[in-house]
Amino acid sequence: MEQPKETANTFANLPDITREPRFAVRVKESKEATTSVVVLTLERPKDFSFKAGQYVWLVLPERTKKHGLVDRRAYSISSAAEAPYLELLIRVTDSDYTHAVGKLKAGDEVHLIGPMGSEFTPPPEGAIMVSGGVGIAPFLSILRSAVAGSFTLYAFEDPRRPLHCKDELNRIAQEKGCHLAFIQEVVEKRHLENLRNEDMHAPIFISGPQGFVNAATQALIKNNIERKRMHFEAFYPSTPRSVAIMQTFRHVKSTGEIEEKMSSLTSMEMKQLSLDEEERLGSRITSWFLIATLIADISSAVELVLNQLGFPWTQVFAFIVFGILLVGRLAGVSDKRIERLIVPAIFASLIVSRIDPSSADILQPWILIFPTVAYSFLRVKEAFRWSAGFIAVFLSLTFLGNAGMFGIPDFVASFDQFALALVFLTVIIHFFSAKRATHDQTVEAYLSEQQNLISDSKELLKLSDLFVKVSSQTSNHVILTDKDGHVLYANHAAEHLTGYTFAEMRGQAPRLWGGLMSPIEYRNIWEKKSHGIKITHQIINRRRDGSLYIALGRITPIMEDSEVVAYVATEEDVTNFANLDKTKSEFVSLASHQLRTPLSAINWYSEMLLAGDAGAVNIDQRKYLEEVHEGGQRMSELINALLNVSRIDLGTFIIEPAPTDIVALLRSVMDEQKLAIDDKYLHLEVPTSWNIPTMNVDPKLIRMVFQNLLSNAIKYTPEKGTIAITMEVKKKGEQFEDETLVEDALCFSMRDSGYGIPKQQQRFVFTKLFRADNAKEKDTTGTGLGLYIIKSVLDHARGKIWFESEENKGTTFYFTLPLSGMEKREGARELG
Amino acid sequence: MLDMSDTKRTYSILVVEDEQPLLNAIRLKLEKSGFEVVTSRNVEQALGYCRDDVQVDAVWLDHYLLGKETGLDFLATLKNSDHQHIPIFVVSNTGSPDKRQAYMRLGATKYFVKSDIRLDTVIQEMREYLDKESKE
Repeated sequence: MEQPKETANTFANLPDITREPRFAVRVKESKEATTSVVVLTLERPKDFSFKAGQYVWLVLPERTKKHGLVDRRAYSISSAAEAPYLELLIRVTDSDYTHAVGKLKAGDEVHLIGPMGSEFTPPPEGAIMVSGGVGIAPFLSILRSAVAGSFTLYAFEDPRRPLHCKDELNRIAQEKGCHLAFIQEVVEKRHLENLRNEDMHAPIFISGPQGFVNAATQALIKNNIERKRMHFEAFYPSTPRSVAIMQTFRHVKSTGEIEEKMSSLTSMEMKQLSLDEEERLGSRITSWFLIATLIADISSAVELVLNQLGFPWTQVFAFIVFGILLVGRLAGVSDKRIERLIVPAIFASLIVSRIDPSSADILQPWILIFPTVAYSFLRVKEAFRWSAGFIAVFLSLTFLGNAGMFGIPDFVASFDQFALALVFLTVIIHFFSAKRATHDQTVEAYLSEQQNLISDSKELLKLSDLFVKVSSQTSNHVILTDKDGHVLYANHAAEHLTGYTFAEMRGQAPRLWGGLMSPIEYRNIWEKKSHGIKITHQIINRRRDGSLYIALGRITPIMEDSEVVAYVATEEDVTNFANLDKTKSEFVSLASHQLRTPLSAINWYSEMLLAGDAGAVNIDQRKYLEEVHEGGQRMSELINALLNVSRIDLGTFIIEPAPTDIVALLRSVMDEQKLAIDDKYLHLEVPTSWNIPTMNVDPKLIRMVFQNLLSNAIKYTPEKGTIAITMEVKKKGEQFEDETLVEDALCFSMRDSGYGIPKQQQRFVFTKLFRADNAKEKDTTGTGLGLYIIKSVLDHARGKIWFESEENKGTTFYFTLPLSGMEKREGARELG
Repeated sequence: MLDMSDTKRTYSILVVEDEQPLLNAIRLKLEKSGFEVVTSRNVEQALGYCRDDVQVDAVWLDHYLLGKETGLDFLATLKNSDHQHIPIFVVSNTGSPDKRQAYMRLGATKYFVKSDIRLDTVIQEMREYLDKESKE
């Protein structure tokens, strides 16, 4: 390589070459391989061992005498690690050094320091190599050496300087099974597209002149290749981060999804640009300062000459020249803020020189320098203020000094020196000030933050790409809606299931294919989901072609800061399962029906025997017959409960709301069970007065709820215990125990001093056929279906049921029932 | 138990039930309770009793019967005949609301689910209904 390594690396990382072994060798051969490329073959020192891919410092002793060791160049070794000689590829450029190297002849002595560059050696698993021009040298060495591995080489060559070693490389590639591509073009994204598909983890080695490395890096980044896979030999891409940022940025921009993040990045980037500008401004100001001083000197000289010739307007002339010069420079950089400073300054000086021509020689550049210096530290507004102040003080002092106020004989000259010192100090402070350091740190921090953001957003992009693929290709119907339920996205399965295309669904509510069930069902679903509750429901939908299907839908609200922002709905066609379930329930119904006939025989004949219809029975016979009769009664109950469950499971039970006096209903249930209450000497506590309006509910269903709760309380409370009932109406937003009501509701509670429900079994209480262990112990007659049924009833009425219980202390059941009542449901079966 | 001394006249009940053991139980209980009883296990025979002007004050009707016709067919035919005034007490195995509604719409007097009800309860309801009717 023909460029110094320093440009590519930080100084801290550079080897201390004075400590490295140094070899004196002779040139064996120097041959022009192609236009301005020389193949330099050197003797190989005895103890010189290196790895393919490493480089050496080439020192020309003649030049070292003149310039010291600093004068050196690094070149990659292009010969095989095993070769008895060393080969370097030299591109002869305009520089003296490369010319000197190009002129070396066989027998000349050169010094080598090295080998260097341990990182640029490819792993045995293989690597991808990208070279530009003579940058092929390290790869040449790798391929020529006995290094095992699967290598791919993309060699870019300048058509004016074709690579000399192509035949040899083709031969090696065939022997080793490597892939080669020679490209006679400037590196672009498309050339390296295949790299995306090749081994994702293979490191990529890039070698070549600075311009090539920059272009190749950009091309790789455009192809989504991670920066960490890239390894650089002599040259790192110039400001590698900024290149990466720019490119990745462009890529991210193309997908609308992270636009917001992007815009914040863009604004940061703009900030960075303005910082850079400020830095450039600093250096410009320095040069203006120098120019101004120079012009001041020149104008002084001109003035002297012209004064001798009797031209009193020379200062004015000098200022005009200076002004034009500055404005001209500024026109090149088009910095309007500077114009705004310079122009008034020039005018000020012109006016002053008119008023008092004698002050002109000190006004000269200083009056301009103050504003510029002020600007280098301050923002525009402050710079204006300070400049005005400076000029005012300066002029006052000048006038006063000239008028002999300070008693200094040569006031103008000493003030001149003072001002000069001040300006120098300012400029020095400016360049070594902490502000500059802070500025660099700011840029550094900004860059690393941006880098993080970019790698985050790249990850995010990859993930979101994957998510889109997953959701579009999954076999379940997936729909994404906004918070109002309008379709934002629908996958292929959703198109397949509903028969509508995504384009047809977009923006529509899912009722496009639904809407077949009673409004209450949808309202239940909607209310639950808008409260952020994940729900599963079975619904009947209609395809585009009109056919019906039963779908198991799951709606998951997507929350952001406890606000619902969207919903993900999945549906599964469960028509077959539902039909199976129906068959099952129909079987249960039929079987139950058939069971009733023999059961009626048991019930009726035992009833008759007990009634003495077949003659008197003795005490034992009566006892046994009572057991038979009671068994029959329990079996009847069980059959009825099973039938109810099967209706609930089918979702086909009828709701027939009617204006109902809830209190009267509760009273009649209490009356029904009065005998059982009295049998156990239980104390029933009820409020003395109720304030419950008539409600539009299905009295049969609500009766069932009361019956179940009360009979449970009676069954599972020991003798002389207490059962306390409360019932009141509460408003929306009010609290009922731990529940906050979402609408006005009837709130019922029933506390007993019973056996309680064991803690570890509490979560099963509302499940089908469950009976707590202690309940089974105390009473063998329960079906384990009652609470399941009433929970289903209350669920359908948008109510809620829950309980608190402690073993051996008692249980309190609570339920709420919306005051608006229940909605009619037809075409199904009644619970009873 | 029912107090038979309250009985002002002997009612005659047509019991339509296909299950022999149940039919026997119903008949026995009705007779013990002071009713006259005719029985049938299919619709045709049951309708025959009505047509032959056998005195029938009330019908105890099951849903499933021998033969293809059900209690519903019996009820429909009877309600379209001169005997539409005869009260019908349905005592069926089927508790489903659609059946119940179908019977009630066709003019059945009462509907009971067989296994949930005691014989004496049905009989008491019948007697109360007939007593009330005869007073009017």
